[in-house]
Amino acid sequence: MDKTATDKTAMDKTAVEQLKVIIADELDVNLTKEEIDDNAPLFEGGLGLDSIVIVELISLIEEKFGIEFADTELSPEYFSNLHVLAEFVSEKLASRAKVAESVR
Amino acid sequence: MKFINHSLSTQVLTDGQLTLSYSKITPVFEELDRFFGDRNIDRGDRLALECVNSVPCALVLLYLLEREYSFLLFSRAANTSEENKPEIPPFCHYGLQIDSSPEAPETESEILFHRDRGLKIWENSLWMGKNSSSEELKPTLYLRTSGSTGNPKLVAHSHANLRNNILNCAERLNLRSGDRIAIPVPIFHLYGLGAGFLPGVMVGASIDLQKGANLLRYLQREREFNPNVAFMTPIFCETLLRGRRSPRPYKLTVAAGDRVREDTFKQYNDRFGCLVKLYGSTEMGAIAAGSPDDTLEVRDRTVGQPMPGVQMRLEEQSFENIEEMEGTGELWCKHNCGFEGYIDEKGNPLLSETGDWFRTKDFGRIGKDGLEVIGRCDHSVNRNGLLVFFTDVEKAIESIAGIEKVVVVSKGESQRGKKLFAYCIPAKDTKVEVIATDIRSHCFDLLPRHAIPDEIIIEKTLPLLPNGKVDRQKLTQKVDWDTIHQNNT
Repeated sequence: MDKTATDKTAMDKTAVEQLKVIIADELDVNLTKEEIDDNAPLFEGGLGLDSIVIVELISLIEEKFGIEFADTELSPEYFSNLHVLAEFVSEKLASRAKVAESVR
Repeated sequence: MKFINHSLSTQVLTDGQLTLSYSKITPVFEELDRFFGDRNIDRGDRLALECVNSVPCALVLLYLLEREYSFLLFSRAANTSEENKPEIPPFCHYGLQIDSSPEAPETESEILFHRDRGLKIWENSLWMGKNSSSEELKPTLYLRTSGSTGNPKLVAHSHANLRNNILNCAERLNLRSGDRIAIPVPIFHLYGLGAGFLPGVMVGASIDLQKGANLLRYLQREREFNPNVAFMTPIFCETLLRGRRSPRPYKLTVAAGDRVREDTFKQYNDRFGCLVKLYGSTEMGAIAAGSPDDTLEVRDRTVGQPMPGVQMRLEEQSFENIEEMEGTGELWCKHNCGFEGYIDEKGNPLLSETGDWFRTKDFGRIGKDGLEVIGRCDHSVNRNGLLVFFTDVEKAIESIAGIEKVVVVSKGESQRGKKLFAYCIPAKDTKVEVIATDIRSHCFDLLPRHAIPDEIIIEKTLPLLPNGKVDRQKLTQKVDWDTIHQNNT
């Protein structure tokens, strides 16, 4: 595996961990960090996040990672499970870093 | 009830998976004619249709209405498995259920009739036989009241009155054939059905039925379907307000089922266009609704004028704060197209205790420019569109080891509607250490999500009235202080 791919995997992994902390500690869901399965769907049949909690999760992600979702990015496909969401968050962070660099 | 314009070819019914134009409905109905004909099922057989927000369910529902069948519309209880046949009342001869299709069907006939999915029918093992009375069955729609924690009752609506109720809504809300209506609320409740879905079908509008709506699914459907009218709950209005990034004007949004907070109302109106409130019940259908022509102030303060044929009266009660509550009382309603009455599980009518007048159990005022609804009368609150009885929450928490007594009160607002506080008294001889967060954690196993109190407060004693009952008013007055105090210790 080349270096950028390893970096990317590491970044996604950290993001998954951070997301778990947000869900366990800050959302009103009664789940511990250990109980959260990375591969489980976030909604029904998985972690069971309901409509109100999802809105909460979105604003916490924006706050903690310093990113902003566009309306078109608020789509069930990006929220299918924690891996997918973490990947998406990492990409947003990376593209933000790139923008910052080009400005410099 | 004839009300579908089968010739419309550009207007559609969709659920995101399946899209069907009105002009393609006829062949589906012909298939259903054969299906019922083959089984010798006629209008004397009362049916029970399990319903979700999907095109296949909507088609069977429309068929049963258009062919004047009498049927119960119900939803699957959250905890029943797919295999188990749901229990239906003995007056229903057959139960109907629709398996959702995993992929889009190729022809219209495959929507409901496919080898391994589609419409399923079963004979009710509890069926009591055909109606013995010689009287011909008046086409009737049966529904259960929501009674999310209390006992649901069976309600009977004649198709004829339902139709008038639908016409009232289409007229008041000014729905048009060119409209594109998003329905993220369930069509097995009278709000989604009688105020949203059926009026939309009646005027020939395009309709998007959404199942398990949350912000993400809603925004995805919004991009694809491009609605200009939406039927929502106040909670979902708030979800959209918090979650949607950019303003998007709708021609009209209707909110019902709960109170809309004042700040929500104005903000929603600014960002998403005209918002009106609709007031009704499973028994009465739509009682009142705001009109898009009303001013913002009137649409915000009132639930609009009563529908044509509706009379309202107040039963004033004495309050301690008389001046503040002047002109306020319990709302009673007489509706010329309300329900026929409650029935028992055998379909026998239950006598009404109050005659033609229906007790809404809501506090309100009757104003010149519309009806104002203030809240539920008894010890209950409406949270997320669902009625929560304090007593059910109290009983559940009292079942936890180490808890002696619980009293629930409501004050202020939380994300889920009215904020709930549970005062808990630990048992005197308990060896278990009673901790507020543990109790709340237990609640997740004992209560539906909307009934879990926002705050648990542990107290040694509760204030009492001279007659020995808990003084709820005093408790309500002191919740703020108690919550702050508890969080700091």
